Amino acid sequence: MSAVLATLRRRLSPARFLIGNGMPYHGRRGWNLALVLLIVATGAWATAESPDFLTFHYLFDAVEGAAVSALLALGLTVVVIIGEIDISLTSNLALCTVAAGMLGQAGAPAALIVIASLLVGGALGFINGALVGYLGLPSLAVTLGALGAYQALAFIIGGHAGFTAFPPAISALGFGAVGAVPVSLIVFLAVAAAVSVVLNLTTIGRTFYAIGRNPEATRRTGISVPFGRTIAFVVAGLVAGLAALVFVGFYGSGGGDSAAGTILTVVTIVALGGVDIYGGSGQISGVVLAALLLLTIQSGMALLNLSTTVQTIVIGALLVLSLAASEIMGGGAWRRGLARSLARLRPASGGPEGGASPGGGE
Amino acid sequence: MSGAPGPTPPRARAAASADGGGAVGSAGRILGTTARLAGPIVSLVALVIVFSLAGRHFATVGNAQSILFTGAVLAVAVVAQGLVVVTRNLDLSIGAVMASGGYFSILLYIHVPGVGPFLFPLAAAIGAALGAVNGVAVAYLRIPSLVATLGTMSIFRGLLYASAGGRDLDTDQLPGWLLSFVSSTIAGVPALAVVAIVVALAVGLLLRQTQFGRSVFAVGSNPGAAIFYGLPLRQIVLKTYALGGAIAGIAGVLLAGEVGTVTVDMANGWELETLAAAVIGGMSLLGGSGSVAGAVLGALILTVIDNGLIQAGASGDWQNFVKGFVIVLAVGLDVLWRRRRSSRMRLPGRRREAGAT
Repeated sequence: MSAVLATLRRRLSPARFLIGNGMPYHGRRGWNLALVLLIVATGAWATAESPDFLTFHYLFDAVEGAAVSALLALGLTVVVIIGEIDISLTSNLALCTVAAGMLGQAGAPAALIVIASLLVGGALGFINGALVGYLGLPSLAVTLGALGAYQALAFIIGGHAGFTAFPPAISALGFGAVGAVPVSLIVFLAVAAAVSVVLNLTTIGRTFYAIGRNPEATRRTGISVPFGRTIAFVVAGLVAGLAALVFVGFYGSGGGDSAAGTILTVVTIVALGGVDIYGGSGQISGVVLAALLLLTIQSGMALLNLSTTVQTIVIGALLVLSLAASEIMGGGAWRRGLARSLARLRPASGGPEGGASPGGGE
Repeated sequence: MSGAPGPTPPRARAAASADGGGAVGSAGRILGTTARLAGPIVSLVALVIVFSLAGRHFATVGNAQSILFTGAVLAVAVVAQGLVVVTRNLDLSIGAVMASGGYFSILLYIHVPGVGPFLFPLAAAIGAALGAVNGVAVAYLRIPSLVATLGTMSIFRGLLYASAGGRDLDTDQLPGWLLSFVSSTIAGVPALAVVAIVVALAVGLLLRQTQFGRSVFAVGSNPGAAIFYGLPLRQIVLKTYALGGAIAGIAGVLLAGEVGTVTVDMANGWELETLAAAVIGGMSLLGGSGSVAGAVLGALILTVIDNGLIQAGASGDWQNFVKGFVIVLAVGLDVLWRRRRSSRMRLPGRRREAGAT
């Protein structure tokens, strides 16, 4: 009994969510600390330059605008942890907003709209996941195609006019507030907590890390790698469906062009969050901090009347420099990527899916 | 880790035979290349037949010229992207590099008209410098290429915005010879297409017939093995990025001439368009496979889809949908074809392995 309690206590300790559970593959050491320091430094600088920065009013306004990308980043994190990528999430979101918009126009209740959006998002994620997991297609190419196809489908189904009729309960998701706290922030934190629990406390979460770390070893332990991969894409799709509701709530409209072109921001948040782009490592806490850092930089600079151009350069430089620093100091992803290709030198195993490398060499 | 030096891994053998391990022009290599090109060629022919039957205006000389004209710059850009893709890397900054190469070289021409004849070398040099930045980030700072070029994409595009200050270069500021060259035809073939063919041939020869080209494929198909062979992996990756950047810079000038203006947003989104064309042309995003001819075919297929669907009266949405679908289809067929081939090749290897133990 006491053993069970001890296990539970260890599993639920807050430290585990912040710095990982001590296993080396759950995050880069010191990454979150560096992010916190950067956030504090940027925030202090912005506050010193403009006293308006540290007002709840201003910060919460900024949060609402950034919530959609941050939400998508939470979903993408799961896909990146299994060593794949989904760049079609913004188009998935667009198709979800069309589904929500059509139902809203027909006067459907909010609950039905929520369910429909999640269903569409999950289904589109499932298509990507099945193509990657069961057919073994490279995820970048599949989701590159899906990026164009899903958005085009959103335009074909929903037209170019867009939808603006949504029930108030949906609008509240993007624009409402509980007291002073924006609903979108609450949604974001709730999803972050949920994904974090899935990744850290559940079997499927551990499977995600295992697949990202070593698909072949995972397969040999009897876990279905295609199933795990598919589920990861479905999770990302579900989060995109939820993000679509926050999107229509905030902007008051939905359509094929929703969130178009923001996928690179989403990838930036994930990479800045310390998630290994080759898979197998990363924590939601890092992604949350990265979203916060991006928000601080963008809102602080906007307050100082620095153009979006400067923001773009700073964020790009931050991305490159942070990863360069981490790779040089820690010998991270690149070396592991190399180790993986060294492993391929061994005689290829005869698995039907070809293990980690569906066709590494011509 | 068995440790025992087993038989030659099938994958490595496959790489050696397909990427020029044997004598130049060995039958196996030519066959392999042709087989890989079969998919794109069949798709292109099928598309042309379907569109010719569907619309009266598709199968005309004028339309063929128009397809070559619109597809040429994409073809050049895909060659640049393909070079990097062969090394198992990506270049998401290629659109920003194209825009920078085009913008800065023409800006210099406006201030110093004397550099006119050196416009293309100039753009190539700018592109090569930016490409080298990518190469250093990927090969020496060891940042995964997806993330590295995502970052440099923001940096390059941001620097271009900042230095241009929102000023576009208008048609009357562009060198007249560039505009007239771009719209001219050589024996009925648009000059742009001739440039694309020349670039593709040069890079194709470089990849297929030189030591450097073979090392590029070796690095892409198996980085670990390439290091064991003593290949300077980092240098090779850096060089391909620089070369790809140079070609992208040239593509930027060509695009400027084709469009007639240079905006800071030029070639925005081309990073995904070039990747799509490369994939359709049979390049593996896992590196080590594909050919320049395939990449060019991929660009041509994308252009034909656009052109044919416009003529058939389909909206831009349907074009994008079909393109997305074709990308997934191309990758799916490629993976299926590989799997069949590798299962055929794996059998003798396994038998020998069993005999050895």
